[in-house]
Amino acid sequence: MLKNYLITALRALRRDQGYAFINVAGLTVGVACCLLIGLYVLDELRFDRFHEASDRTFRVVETRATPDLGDQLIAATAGPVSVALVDEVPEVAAATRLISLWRFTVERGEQRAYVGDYLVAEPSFFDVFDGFELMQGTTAALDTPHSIVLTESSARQYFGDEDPIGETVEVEGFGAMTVTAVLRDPPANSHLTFSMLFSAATFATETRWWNDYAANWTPNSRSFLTYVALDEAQSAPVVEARLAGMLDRHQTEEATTEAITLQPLADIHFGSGEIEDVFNRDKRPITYLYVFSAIALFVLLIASINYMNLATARSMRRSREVGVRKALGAHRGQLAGQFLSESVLLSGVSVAAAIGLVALVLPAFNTLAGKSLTLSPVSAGWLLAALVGLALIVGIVAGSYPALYLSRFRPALALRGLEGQRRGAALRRSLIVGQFALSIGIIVATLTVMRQLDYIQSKPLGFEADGLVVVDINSGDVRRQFRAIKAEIAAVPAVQSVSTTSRVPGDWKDIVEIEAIPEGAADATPRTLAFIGADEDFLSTFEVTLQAGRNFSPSRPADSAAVFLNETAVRALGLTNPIGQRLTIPGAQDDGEAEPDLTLNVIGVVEDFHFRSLHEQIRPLVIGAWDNPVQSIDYFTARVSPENLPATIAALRTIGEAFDPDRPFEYNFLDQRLGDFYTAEVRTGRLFGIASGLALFIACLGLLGLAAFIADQRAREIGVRKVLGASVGSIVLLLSKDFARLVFIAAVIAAPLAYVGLRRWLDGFAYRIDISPGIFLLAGGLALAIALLTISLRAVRAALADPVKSLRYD
Amino acid sequence: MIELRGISKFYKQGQQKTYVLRNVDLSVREGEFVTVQGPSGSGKSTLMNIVGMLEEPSEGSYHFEGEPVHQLSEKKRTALHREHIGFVFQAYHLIDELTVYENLETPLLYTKTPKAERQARVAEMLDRFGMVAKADLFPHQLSGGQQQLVGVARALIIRPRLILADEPTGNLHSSQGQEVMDAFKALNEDDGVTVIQVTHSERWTAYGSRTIELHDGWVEADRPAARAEV
Repeated sequence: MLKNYLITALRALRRDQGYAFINVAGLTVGVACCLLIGLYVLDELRFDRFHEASDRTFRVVETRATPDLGDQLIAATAGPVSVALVDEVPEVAAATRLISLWRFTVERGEQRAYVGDYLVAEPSFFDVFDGFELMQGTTAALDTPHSIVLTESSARQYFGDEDPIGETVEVEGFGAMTVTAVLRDPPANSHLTFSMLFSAATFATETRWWNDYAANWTPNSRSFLTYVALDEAQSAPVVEARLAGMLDRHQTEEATTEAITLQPLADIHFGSGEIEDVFNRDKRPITYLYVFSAIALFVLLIASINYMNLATARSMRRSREVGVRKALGAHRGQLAGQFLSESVLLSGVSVAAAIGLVALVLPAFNTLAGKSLTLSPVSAGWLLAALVGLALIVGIVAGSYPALYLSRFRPALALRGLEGQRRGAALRRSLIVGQFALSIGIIVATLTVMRQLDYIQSKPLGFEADGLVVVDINSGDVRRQFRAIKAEIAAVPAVQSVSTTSRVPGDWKDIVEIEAIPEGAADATPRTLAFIGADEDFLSTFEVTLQAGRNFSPSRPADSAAVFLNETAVRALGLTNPIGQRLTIPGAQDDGEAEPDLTLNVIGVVEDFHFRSLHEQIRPLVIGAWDNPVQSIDYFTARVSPENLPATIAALRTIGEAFDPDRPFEYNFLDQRLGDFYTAEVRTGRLFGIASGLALFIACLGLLGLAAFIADQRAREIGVRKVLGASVGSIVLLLSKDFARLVFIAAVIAAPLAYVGLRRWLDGFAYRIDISPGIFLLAGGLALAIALLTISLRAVRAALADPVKSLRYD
Repeated sequence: MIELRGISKFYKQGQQKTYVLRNVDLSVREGEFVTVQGPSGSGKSTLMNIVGMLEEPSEGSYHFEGEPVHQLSEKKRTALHREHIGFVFQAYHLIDELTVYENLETPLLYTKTPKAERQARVAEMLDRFGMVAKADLFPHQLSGGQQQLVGVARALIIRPRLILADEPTGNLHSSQGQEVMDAFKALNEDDGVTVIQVTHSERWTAYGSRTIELHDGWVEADRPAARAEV
């Protein structure tokens, strides 16, 4: 029976190749889209789950009190937390702490690089994280001082094809370190990424401060990442309850940690929106996944609707067959089964083709999405099963309506070819409206995302980022000679000006924060302010406007305590007359010994500029002098003319290497660095762009097919009209205007839904565009234009057809 | 075998009813060979469709072998008709995408006949109509007469007790028509299969034992056929 069905279906499709092509092409693209996004979503959902114990592994998160910003969650703890967890909490199976300090040069022979993406790890690292696969060596690799564990990539970088085990690399400040193990590179869906692990024992033996630092409960040492594996996942609440007591026992009075909580490992990727955690690469809200999944489903739905529409439109041609089969004794169920097996056959073919298509485009998709997805799980039974399931579901969803529709034909009428002419037209129309509503929605989203990105990228930042080259200062020697280096840089012909700063605007990580109280203020609550140190050339180099007051002066030694405020800081501190105002930074309390307070002296006010990403409002900022007591200088920033950049960079390199021969020269262009803030949005924008292109393409494929059927159906009418003198144009219009109306209705339906969704997306930006009606007009107009173009392809042919031919039958 | 009582068929158009059949009473005994005649639009095809259970009457009762067809569910009706009734159409109505063999096999698939028996019965039909060599051809590769023979063979394959033939020879040359009509005659006489045919041709009317004339939906005449020597 099934064979008979499939044979009929295959032969019918062969006869109707255009129809088969439209359906298979549409479904293939739809399924491929779904498959890609499915792989992406699965990969995202499996973030950090490659550790076998991931369900009972947790990250320790601290809640810290701040004077003016309320409680803040931070994924860092004091050093001894992991030790106390193991010693004092019986439900803890293992705990480990990690830390990353400043950057080291790591070298072997010719190979020399700065390494910042290392972690200092203890032997217990392997007890907590079982998912980082050892390629060589054992879990004892971190037991001894001067041990280093490389990843596959870094091993290749330093050792090529040689066996690295037992060999050494030179680490700045620590001498030779022996490679004790090689790990496979951390998977792309690991929130923890690193290129090497240094054994913590190295620091314990080589430095005087490590042991103290690691054992200290005071705020100063709160920069360890602490992870804990429990005996079972259900113990988490019990353990959290015990943690309050642990804090009380150990924490000194002035410490500000309010609570310690456990965050499941699997929640870190999506559940860290409120948590400050610089090590959490690529964290994002889970709504991204919902949006992507929805898009995949929409595209698939649009392709399925094509099938429904075309199959019912085509039903006229199959009316007779239905009649015959009913006369031969087929009952409805059997006919429905036949048509369903046809659609499942088509969707099966499409799924198979989609797998091929995905294999083809996966590398490009990986680049686009920043992933390393593979189809290899296709060999895994479950994915194969999922694909078969997908083929079945798509086939059944797309085929159910045609099946019900066709099998309901009354045999007597069907035999005369009278069924399927009028019925179903209303449903076909609403399905087209649905398709185009989805397509227009996606187009609106694409346009909005693109405009927002454009807006962000062209928004005046309050300083001029184009043309700024940032050179890192990597040693105390360079720092001490910075005046001389600055002079040499300034002497490079293309350099217009050069400034030295502690941080540059747009720096990702650690623009430090200070807490300050205006002297003489009635309210003694300290305000949190961002802090950057800068020299007298900062204003001219970055083109930041000084609104009031004076610039730093190298000739005044007292200027080390002089600061600018930005306008926001002036407001935050409640100053009416900021110039000459003194600010007090309360000294830190360290083990009961109070450090002396610092006093800063406001000499100027600068106009607000965006020193962080446009996701955030401008925060209060203090700009201190280059020799300020808070943070030392770390960067040269040069404004260079755009001509002959390579020569300019080469000149800068020569200067850098002359002053610091031991370390690699490092630079970046600030505008590019700032662009990195929006990587996620750029990716989203591209994905939207592709999805909207595909959605529109598939919807138009369907329109093309439908237009063909309708042109066939109305061939006689067109013939009569032509005989009566109708022009080609008027016939094209006749065939197109019905569709145009549908697309218009679709736009009206899509607009409010898209508006609500995009409003929410835009809320994630502190600075955003308004959604203008223009976007909807543009999207609707675009969809309409493409739809009309598609239809006219067929309509013109119909209009040009020889009327004698179409009138001959009858 | 067939008892139609007060059968009417009409279509509503607004307030108006357009009648196709009016108050038809008809009994057909097993083994009869009935010819239905009448001008275009007199309701012949509708009558055939109602007897064949492809269409439901608007009014009246229909008993087939004592079963009240007008009261049966669609499923039961289908089961009844696929066991007992074979159709032959003027336009042949073979399924274009299936070969001769597959066309013959299709009715048996719907009755869930086991494969071995299907093969045997299809082979028997191919043999009987001399089409063994054409088993793998598609309908469009056959002449009209050949197609209609396949149509007849397909109707017979379920071993029906009633054959409904709506102008089976209408599209055929006379020699081809002869072949088809001879097949009906043999069936009727040798196997006792009841045949109801619609035809305009006096020549084919003579094959029947009884003639019914329809006019504007009314039964105008019901008389024994003038049997000609064939």
